[in-house]
Amino acid sequence: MPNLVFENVYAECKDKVWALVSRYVYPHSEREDLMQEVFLAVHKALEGFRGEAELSTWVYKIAVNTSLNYVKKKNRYQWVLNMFTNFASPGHEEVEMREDLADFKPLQQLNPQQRMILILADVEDRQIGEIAELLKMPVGTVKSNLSRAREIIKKEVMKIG
Amino acid sequence: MVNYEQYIGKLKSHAIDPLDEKLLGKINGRVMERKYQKLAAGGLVLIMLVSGIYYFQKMPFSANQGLNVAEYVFQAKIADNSVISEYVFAN
Repeated sequence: MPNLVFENVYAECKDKVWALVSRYVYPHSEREDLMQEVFLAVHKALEGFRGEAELSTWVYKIAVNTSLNYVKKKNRYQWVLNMFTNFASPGHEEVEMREDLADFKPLQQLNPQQRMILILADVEDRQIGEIAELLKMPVGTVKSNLSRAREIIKKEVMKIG
Repeated sequence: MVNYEQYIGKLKSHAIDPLDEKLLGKINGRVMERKYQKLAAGGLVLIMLVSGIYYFQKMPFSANQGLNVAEYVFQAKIADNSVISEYVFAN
């Protein structure tokens, strides 16, 4: 087992993970929160890293799965949050989303899995087989999710004009 | 009008915010926090266990005596029932 120092792992992989996280969740505070969650998971799993895969691939896999779980968990409680925020005025995060991140809005129409697959396949140019391995799902499922995600985005882009 | 390919191109070239230099410090802080939480929980369980043993030893009867009392009560109940059933069959 390779002797790994967490700080070195962070330094090696932070940019790649930050790029993924920044394309996957939008308010800046949430990106930072997710980034912390990813590296907490990496820290927890670091002792079990046997060096069978490349370190960056291993960290990326953790990042992909932590991001998916993070958004799924957030969506699960969204209706409760909406109930309270409907009574309040728009917060800082909403303003930030409107001004700075309009390009990402169509992606929000996708479910967490479709969004991740589309980002990995079309934005990060990863192979279908690699995505299937990262997400631990059959190639056919990745392909169908990707095709559905592309259709939705095409429609959304048409709406924007 | 923007088509799909142009939209993906926009996403690819979208500037990514600079990463906060203090983020590693924050992560390390949370790692330490979790470690201390685990230690605190372990310590609490240990204190509860030790105090539980201490007070159990201080009790007026031991575990064996407690079992003997239970057995005595159980036997007494059986005896009572047999007396009652004997009475019922006799009458």
